[in-house]
Amino acid sequence: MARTSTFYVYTVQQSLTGRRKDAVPHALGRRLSAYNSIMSDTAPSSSFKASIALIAFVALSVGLITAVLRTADAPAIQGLLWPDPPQISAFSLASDKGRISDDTLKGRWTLLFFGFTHCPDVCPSTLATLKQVAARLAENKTFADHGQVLFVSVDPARDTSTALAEYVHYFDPHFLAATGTEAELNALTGPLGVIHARVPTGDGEYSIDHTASIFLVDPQLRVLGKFGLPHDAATISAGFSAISDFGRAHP
Amino acid sequence: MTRLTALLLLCCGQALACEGVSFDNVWIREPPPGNGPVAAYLTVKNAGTEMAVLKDWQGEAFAHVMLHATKRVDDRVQMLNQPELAVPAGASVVLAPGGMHLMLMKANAPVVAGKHYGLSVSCNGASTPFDATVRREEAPTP
Repeated sequence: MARTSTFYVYTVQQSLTGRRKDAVPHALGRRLSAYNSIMSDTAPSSSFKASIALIAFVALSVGLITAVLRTADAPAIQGLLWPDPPQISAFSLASDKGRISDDTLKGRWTLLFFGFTHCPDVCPSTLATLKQVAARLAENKTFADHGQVLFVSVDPARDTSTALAEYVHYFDPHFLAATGTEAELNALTGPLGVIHARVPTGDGEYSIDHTASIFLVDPQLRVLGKFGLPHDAATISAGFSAISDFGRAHP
Repeated sequence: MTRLTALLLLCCGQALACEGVSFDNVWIREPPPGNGPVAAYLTVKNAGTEMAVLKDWQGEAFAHVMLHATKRVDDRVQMLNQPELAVPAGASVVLAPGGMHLMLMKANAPVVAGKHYGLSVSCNGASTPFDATVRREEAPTP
């Protein structure tokens, strides 16, 4: 094994520098020269060169095959984030039921959505869609046993925990809702790449431009799914089933 | 007499200015609890021969009303205030969920399904009333 890696380094060294092995001035080169003289008393034989070529070829092939397998590993599931899904890090937000944190998400499959209650169009539509998603997934064991829906308000100035709870429970009494200070929110939104920014509406009030995707977080806090606009209950419930199956098969 | 003529001219001039413009499928989405803005949707149809310029939306039970357009930028949404809405002759503009909508701000009482509200808009300078009914909207079933 050590021999193989030495040969590999040697090959790279030579091709990078364009120098012959005996012309390499530094320690590695000297070591390689010594190694070479142990292996063969004479000048590099053709079989020696063939070995290097073969090893390089095998190394390259293994790399290529691994890359191909890795790509093939990500099937065409709509909304699946794979490979290298983002990971939720530690966060803690306020809700009417106490703190909601990364612990609340552990061991559960969470549909996560960001919005605010002073959002009369997109947010109610999305929550109504999530209500339908929950109804469609009633027969899905993963969702029925371990599923949850979490609405996070990015407008802590106007959305209290109590008001938030009333807002989401209008759609479904099982839905969770939370918010927090800017710093607390950023601990959750940062890793997800969720953007939220206040924009004045010209009447002394403001709206909040925000990422409107629905995220699917697995029990190990991997963000395995992302559903963009327009939100559609059939697509999201089918996506939940396929992605949760995939996630369980790829722990 | 002169005053009456002036009034008549004013009245009929305004009526003509917005002739052929109708407001259909007007409805207000029953909001979840809270005092946030409420969305209203409608279709503005201009069957007239002139461009209809709509502005200054109002609602009898609301502090003020704005027209917003929803703009998608990647997976983000932005609300853009629309001070004026121009509807060309022969055209229709649909205000619907996920797109343009009226923002009814600060209702004087809870807005619940079944209630009726009077709204109005200045159409080419003529205040034009129309009615809206509140309904509880479920997401469309695909």
